[in-house]
Amino acid sequence: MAQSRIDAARARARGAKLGLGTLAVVVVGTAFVGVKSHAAGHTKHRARALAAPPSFEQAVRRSALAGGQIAPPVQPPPIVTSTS
Amino acid sequence: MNVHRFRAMGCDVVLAGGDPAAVASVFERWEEAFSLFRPSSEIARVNAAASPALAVSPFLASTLQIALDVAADTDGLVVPALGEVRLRGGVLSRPPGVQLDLNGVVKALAVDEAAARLAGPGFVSCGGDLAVRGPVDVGLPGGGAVLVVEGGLATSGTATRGRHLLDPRTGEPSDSPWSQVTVSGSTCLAADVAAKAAYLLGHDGPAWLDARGMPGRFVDEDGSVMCNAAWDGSLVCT
Repeated sequence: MAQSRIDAARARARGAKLGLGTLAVVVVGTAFVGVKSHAAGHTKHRARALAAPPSFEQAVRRSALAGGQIAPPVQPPPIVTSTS
Repeated sequence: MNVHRFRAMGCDVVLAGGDPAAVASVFERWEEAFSLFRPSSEIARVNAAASPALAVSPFLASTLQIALDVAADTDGLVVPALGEVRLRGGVLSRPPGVQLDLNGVVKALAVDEAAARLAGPGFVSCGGDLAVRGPVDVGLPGGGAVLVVEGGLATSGTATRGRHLLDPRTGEPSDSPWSQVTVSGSTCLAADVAAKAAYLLGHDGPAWLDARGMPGRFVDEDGSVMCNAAWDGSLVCT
């Protein structure tokens, strides 16, 4: 009789530990996701390098030292090229 | 065509066909990383570092790689440093005391990127070097004009800042016979680099440009104008 009461108490303790553990995981997980998506200072997407777009760099490299297209002027120019 | 102006990189930036604030933000990003006059810029911090090998940002690495490609394309006439610079796996190495200067490519790259972001037809110019989206008439040094149909147009020389272009072959200011060299390129970068190289090459400049199919217009110290065959093939040289 005494043994069965002890077993029952142990079962209740196991259940309580499992419930508390599960609750802790849920609370921490929810808080983590919430902070990640709302709090200032946490990145909300993958960080990108501070640089020109890769497509731009590829275009610039492809056209290195190639001639442009020019033609006779058609109207007064809005801009002037000069030494810099 | 509404024309907007602001200052960046020590030059007047002139643009049409786009949002001035968006263009300004492009120039600010390049300047923030590559200005030699901002102690906080990455290039200033790299130059101040004593270490012969440094890990650099992807932005600096990709820009330096473009500058090294340009140096190879111009046989060492337009270089990122007066000394050997190596870049491998994002790590920059150089002999002690060698300073990086990417001004030879950064301004033109900023112009090209800003022009690529224009919403429609227009142009972006910084200090007279420009890139277009759609045909734009452009005035030339000493008079005359040209319709830039596609790409960029840049002028190098001594007219504005005197003999400021160093010849990497001698380490001294160039004694080029030209006062201004204007080149049409597929991009502002191509035009700017080719104009510098053609200026430094002196009397060999016109043929060097022709070998690459790049139109060039040369003004000498007396104000006389001559053009290479590629330019003459597109319009009358004036």
